[in-house]
Amino acid sequence: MGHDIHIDGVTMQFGSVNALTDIDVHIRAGEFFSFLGPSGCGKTTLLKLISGFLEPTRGKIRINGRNMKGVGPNIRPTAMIFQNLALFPLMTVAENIGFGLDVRKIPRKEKIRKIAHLLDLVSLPNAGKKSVNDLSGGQKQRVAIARALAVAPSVLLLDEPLSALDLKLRKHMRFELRKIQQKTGVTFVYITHDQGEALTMSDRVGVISEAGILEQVDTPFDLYNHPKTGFVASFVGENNAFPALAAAGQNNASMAQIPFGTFFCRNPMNLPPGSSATAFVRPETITLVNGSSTAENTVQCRVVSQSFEGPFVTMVLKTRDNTVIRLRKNNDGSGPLLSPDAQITICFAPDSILLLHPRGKAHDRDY
Amino acid sequence: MTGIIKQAFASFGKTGAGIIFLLVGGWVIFMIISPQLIALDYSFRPLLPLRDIGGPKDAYTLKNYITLMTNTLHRAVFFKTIWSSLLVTFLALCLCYPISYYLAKAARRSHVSLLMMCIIVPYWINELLRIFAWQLILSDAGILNQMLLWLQVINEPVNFRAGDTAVIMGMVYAYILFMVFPLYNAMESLDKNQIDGARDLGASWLRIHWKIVIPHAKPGMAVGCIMTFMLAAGSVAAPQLLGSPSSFWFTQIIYTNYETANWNLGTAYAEVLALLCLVFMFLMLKLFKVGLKEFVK
Repeated sequence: MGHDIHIDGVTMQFGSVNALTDIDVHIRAGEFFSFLGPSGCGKTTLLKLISGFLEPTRGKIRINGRNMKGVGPNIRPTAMIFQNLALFPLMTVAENIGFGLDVRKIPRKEKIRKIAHLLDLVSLPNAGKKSVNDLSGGQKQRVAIARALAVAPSVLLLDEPLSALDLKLRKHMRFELRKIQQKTGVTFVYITHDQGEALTMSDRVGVISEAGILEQVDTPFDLYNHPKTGFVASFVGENNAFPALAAAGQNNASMAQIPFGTFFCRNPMNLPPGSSATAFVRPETITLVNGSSTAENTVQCRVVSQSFEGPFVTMVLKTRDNTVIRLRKNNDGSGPLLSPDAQITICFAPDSILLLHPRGKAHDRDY
Repeated sequence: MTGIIKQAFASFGKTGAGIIFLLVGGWVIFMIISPQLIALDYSFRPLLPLRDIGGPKDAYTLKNYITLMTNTLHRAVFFKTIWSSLLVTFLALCLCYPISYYLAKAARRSHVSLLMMCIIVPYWINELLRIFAWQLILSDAGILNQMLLWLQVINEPVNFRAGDTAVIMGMVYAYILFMVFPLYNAMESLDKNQIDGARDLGASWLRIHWKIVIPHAKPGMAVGCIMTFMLAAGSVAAPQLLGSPSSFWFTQIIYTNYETANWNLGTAYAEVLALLCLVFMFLMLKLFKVGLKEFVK
């Protein structure tokens, strides 16, 4: 069964450079937890800290309540799946999976039984005698998972293991990984720069910025719909970002002053009126209004370009003051595409505009 | 083979390819095959006064080879040379394995080039001079004895040069490079994640080396051992300069035979030594399960 992990105020410095700053997160037992962030944000460093290949400069890591300081990677209850899988090329599939069992001096009979069981679990029965080099990318993936699970870890650490696979296989493996995780109940800590992976598989996701700061930890749903920082808003999913000033409307309604007008918005940070901010609007939340309208939260635009992507159409629009807005409209099969340069009116639902600290200033959060 | 010939004609033209094959062929025939054949011929003929050469007494015989079996001193020196060369090879392997591993996998990039320099620079000096240096280090009044005396580890100078000790130490040092380079090359190509992966699965360092590093480095180990053994078995300078009368080397017997104008016996012994090296090579390739192709690489 899985164990929980406490990461308490972990800072990692390489020389004078901070790779990770003050990471604080509690990963629950049996959870599928992803760390999402751009390349070079220190995700892999964090994984190495949990697995024991690195010791944090400050802070501590506890697994199942036990402080891991000074506990080597060969003793920690973690197993890691490397980005390049690091299968042993001179061994067969069974020998690879049996490596950790040999270390633990598991008797031969039980070892064979366990290997067969693990091969079943990753849907590779009868592949034991094959050479690792004869396997396809997806099969190697499965062997790596089986090898890691063989040592009965309570925490499985995965370092972007799907990045080498093609899109279709990757999507399939996401599903498989999730299934294996649920079957085994092991705590999965998954590292990725691919938000699709993080959102589809995880119970919760932690987003790390380039600066190595943990911006937000939330369920995929809340991360997408209620980002708490500018970085999360622009990194997770697509977002229109406009420079804005917080304002107050009638009955203290939250308003945002954007170059092309003043609009109702959400202001979860309670930014005081007059403070500079960034307004985020998801392209898929913007709706087209029939005819011209002067209703609230609408604005007139000109169509600059459209790209038809099958299930939806992405439109690039320009307001009168030349602000670019991206809009995504579901393809319901009705009507032809708009003609270029057509004048249209769009409407922002009051809840769809999100007012946050401007990006880059997100780190001045008040603790 | 025909492919190579065709390709050469295609890329260099008739004259160009002709010249190349003439040069290569000439090299192979005059520098490799003929000397070997002449030596082989010598080794099967008896030592005769000049007037009998070409006469009826000048017939092929196994006499020279049989001498090696019957002359107890020569036979003993021959087997001692094998044993001592094996020892040199083994010691060099033990010494160079950690050095190579450190260079290939543990050291920081910036340190590697510095350390490599430290290993290579001594080789800018002639082997003879390097061995002379060991003479200075190991002699009764040498640096090593003086240091040990000063540290009060010993009360009177140790005669390192009495037995084979000095010869073996000198040889191990002299051939470090030939062991380090193949080992380093082989280990360098090992993915660091393999080591980390094994460690993560709980393996001790001993197991990691036994199961991951050594199997990967096998071809390099085979090459290093073969080179070191051949160099050690064929070395003249080290036993001549560092040895004592009791540490006679087989090459010294060959050398003496040439000096005393018994080329026939000397050549026969040289052939035996060459055969020994060849046998050792195939044994090593077999032992390390390395193909001849990988070895040539």
